[in-house]
Amino acid sequence: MYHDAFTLLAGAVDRTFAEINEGGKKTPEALSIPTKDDVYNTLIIPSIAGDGCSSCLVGAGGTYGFEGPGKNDQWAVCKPVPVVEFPSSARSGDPGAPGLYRTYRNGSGNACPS
Amino acid sequence: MLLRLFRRHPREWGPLEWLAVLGIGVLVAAAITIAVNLAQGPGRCGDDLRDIDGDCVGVTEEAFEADPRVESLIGAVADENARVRRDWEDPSSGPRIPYVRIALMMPFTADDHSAMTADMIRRGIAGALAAQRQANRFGGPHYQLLLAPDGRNLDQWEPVVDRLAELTKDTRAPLVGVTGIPSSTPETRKAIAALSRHSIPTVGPVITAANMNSPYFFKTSPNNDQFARALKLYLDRKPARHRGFLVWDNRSEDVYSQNLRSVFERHFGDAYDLTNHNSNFTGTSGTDKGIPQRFTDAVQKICNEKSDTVFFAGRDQDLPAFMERMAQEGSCGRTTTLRILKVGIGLEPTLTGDAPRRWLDEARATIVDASAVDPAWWKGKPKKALGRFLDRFEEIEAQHKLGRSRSTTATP
Repeated sequence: MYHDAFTLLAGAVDRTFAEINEGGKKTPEALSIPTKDDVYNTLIIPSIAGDGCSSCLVGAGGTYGFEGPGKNDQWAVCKPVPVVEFPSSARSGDPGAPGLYRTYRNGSGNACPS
Repeated sequence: MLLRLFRRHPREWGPLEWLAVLGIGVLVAAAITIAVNLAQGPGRCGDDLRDIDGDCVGVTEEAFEADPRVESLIGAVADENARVRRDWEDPSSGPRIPYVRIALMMPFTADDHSAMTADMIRRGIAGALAAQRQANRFGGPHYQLLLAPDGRNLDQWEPVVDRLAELTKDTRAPLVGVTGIPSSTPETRKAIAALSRHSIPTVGPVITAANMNSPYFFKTSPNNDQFARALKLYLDRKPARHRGFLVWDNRSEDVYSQNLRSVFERHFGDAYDLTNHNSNFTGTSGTDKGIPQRFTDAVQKICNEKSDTVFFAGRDQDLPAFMERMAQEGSCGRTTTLRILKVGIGLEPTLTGDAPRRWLDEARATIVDASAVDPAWWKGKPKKALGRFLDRFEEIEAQHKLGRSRSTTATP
């Protein structure tokens, strides 16, 4: 999951960078660069609303998000958890397949994005 | 002046002469030290890292001496970092591209007892490098992936965290986050607490011990409790004859194994009477605590009790030895398949090669892994980010001979 971990941080940087440099064209030297605090503040914005996902991590391990500060100890929510047999006899299903266990989601009837 | 000073015999020298001799001596020693340092170059650890107990420790954007099996990947990261720096400082064409830094904090050396095997390190770097290259293909800021080795046993984290905290204060290319933290141990618990004290967002890619928590520590993996819930759904659908057995690692300092054991006992203890059906072993990961991987008692009890469901509360590094020992006993008269239930990010190549497959066949057993990914997702035409990740990963796989098919190697 090293890919997804880096992508989570880079995605938060990109969203922060876009927001703090909104409006008008700036030279590269005039662009604001996010700090660790800005990135943290982006990461703790809940990424799932209802059964939709505005800023979920679309990672190699599925589509999942986080619940915000103080909730779920910063563990991923809606992360698909396939059960894999080896030697293989049955598939677990695609990351969004119904019946596949997904990690804890508080509220909203445990709805997760597909 | 100097010549006049030393015209007299040393026996007749006064304080002034002796002071002059001392001064000359200091100057000569300093000149020799500088000359030797220049001749030796920055040393095997480079300018940014320090040699501590044989490991290079610190934070760097450049290549350094590590395990020979991972050096080509370190070089590839260093090359990408140099390109990112050049695109800001001296772009060959187009506008300057600003950049930020993300650190990969983990060991880059391995031995028989180290926290990560060389293969684990290779896949970790490859996954992070794939994400770095993908992120650097788009607009917005680009990314350096700083390499932050914290010792093969994860116990040199203090100077690394101090340096990372300094790098967050850089206004031109600040450090904005940390990833890595490859294992749940007392040392990594202290490390994530220290990173949180410095308010550095940190993402654990493979942490699963449910008690590895800190305010700034995010986890992209499911935790052991969630893995166990997925296994429970599986067992509800495939109960077999309900004869369970728990095999657990007795290293009390191993946060991961202890957490997994307690999770298994909580979810399956009563239903499978694990209090009366269990055995333990000493795992390989950590300081020397006697001969590890002694599975004879566990294997014989599993045979005698005709167990059909084994809960393995240990690290993946120790599972092949368990499977091999199981194979020695054969199927011991079982008429059903023995399921070895485990949790983990994915199935390690050490569990899916020809020899482990043969051991499973001889033991009439199968591995059931509650996982973060399913290799079947990677077959055919993968969608979205998975497809992009595999494109980047396959480039790296071809360049650095990771040596396995994508169905078993990738650890995203």
